[in-house]
Amino acid sequence: MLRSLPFLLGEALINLRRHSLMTVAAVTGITIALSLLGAFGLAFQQIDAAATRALGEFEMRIFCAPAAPRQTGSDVASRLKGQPGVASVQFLPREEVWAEQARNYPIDTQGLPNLMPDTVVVHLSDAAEGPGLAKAVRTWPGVDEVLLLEQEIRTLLRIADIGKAAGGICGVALLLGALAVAMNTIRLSVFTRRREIRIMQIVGASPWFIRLPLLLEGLLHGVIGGAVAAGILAGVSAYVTGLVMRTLPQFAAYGAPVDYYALTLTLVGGGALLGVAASALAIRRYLRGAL
Amino acid sequence: MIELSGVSVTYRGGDVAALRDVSLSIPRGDFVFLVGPTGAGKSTLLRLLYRDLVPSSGRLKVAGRDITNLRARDVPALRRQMGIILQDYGLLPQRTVWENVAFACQVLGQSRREIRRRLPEVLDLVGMTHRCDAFPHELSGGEQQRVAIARALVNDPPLLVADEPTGSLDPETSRGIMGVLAEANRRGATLVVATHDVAVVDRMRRRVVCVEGGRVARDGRECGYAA
Repeated sequence: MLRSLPFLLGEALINLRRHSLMTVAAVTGITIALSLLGAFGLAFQQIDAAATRALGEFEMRIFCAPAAPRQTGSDVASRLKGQPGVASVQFLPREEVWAEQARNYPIDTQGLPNLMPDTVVVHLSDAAEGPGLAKAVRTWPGVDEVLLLEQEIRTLLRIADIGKAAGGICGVALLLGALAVAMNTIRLSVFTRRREIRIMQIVGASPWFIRLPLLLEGLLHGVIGGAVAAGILAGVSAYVTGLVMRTLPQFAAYGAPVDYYALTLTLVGGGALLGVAASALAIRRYLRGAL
Repeated sequence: MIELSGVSVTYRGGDVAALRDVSLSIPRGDFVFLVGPTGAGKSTLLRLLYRDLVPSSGRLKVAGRDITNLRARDVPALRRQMGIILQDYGLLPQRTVWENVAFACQVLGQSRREIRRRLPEVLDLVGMTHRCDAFPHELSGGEQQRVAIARALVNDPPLLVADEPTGSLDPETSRGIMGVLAEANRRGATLVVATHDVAVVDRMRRRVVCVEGGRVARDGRECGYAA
């Protein structure tokens, strides 16, 4: 087998040219399937990034009771640091808060005594932890009130969950569709070669001698299809990103940067796997039939 | 070389019998014609020899080896010990004459040098040296059959199996093809040739096994059969 390897590799490359029409059909099939799958993946990634970013903008404000000792605020801040779902904690003494109010609303605050309590501002890294954390903090001594848009968080988390589930189902359906398209194209390519396979068997070629060039062909179809799909997606993605930046700049910050290297690697690798798997399944049928 | 003992082949769960209780012995170096009308079972018998079919009952030996229950993975090795010539030539359409014949060597893992040494000789034997760059569709039926014979002969197999090798050829070309096969037999190969070309059989004066209705009706030197 090893002695025949250079011959078999050569055969796979020559066959791409010999069966150029089927090569074009197989590569086109894989390109379309992977482009659709990749486009969906990129869209899903962007939506997920936007949702994560939106959820990350939620903050929790904790107001200390007016009668509570002055160190209550800093104690609460210390306890919150290191809690799950907490990105950062900032303690604002009542004087600082009042000064900010006075700066923002000079007429409304003029002549009034400081009405603001010591405040702790918590930025959440995981909004899902927010409601539970707020509930716990409300029971801490010296805490008067906790402000968190809990209902809004729950609604947003639910939308995100539904979106992820729907995206997952669509992704799997699309993946199966892509597999079916690629598989059928390659099966068609192998089907047109069934007479050739039969003749090879008659001459005494071992199953691997027949299988290997066809598997290599499938691999090459997949790699080429994946590379073309990566090129198409990179172009479309760059165009859409530019369009959003120009027309809807306020949304630009919500997107995630596209990793073109990872995209290419995923599509080429996925294409290779797809090509080999489709070839293996298609060949199995004809090899099993005659021996 | 070949031993069949009570071999039967049935299709459709036993409803249709292609061969019935056939027993036949073909010694090494023999040249045997299988004759009989269309559907008599000649091709079925040949397909058994290269394990394209499995007998429903009976035992079958080829080259001293019982192949009745041969495992699928051992079939290629069996076929490499024989040259198989098909009625429809069985040439690979996208390959030239040279590549088609060389393929039988490549299957055995032979080096390019070895292939370059063997091919001119066998192409010369079948008279196809001048067409070695042609593709099958550029050849006449007789030329395609010669290429198929060259492919079958190139590895000097001890057994040659031919199914209607002159089936669609004119008498002159048929004579040439049979001459090549006779030469292979003279060099020591055992030949089993299925045909209904009475003229060829009468002219060659070899052993004739007449198959009728899936049974061996006669086995001798005379054809005793009118196509």
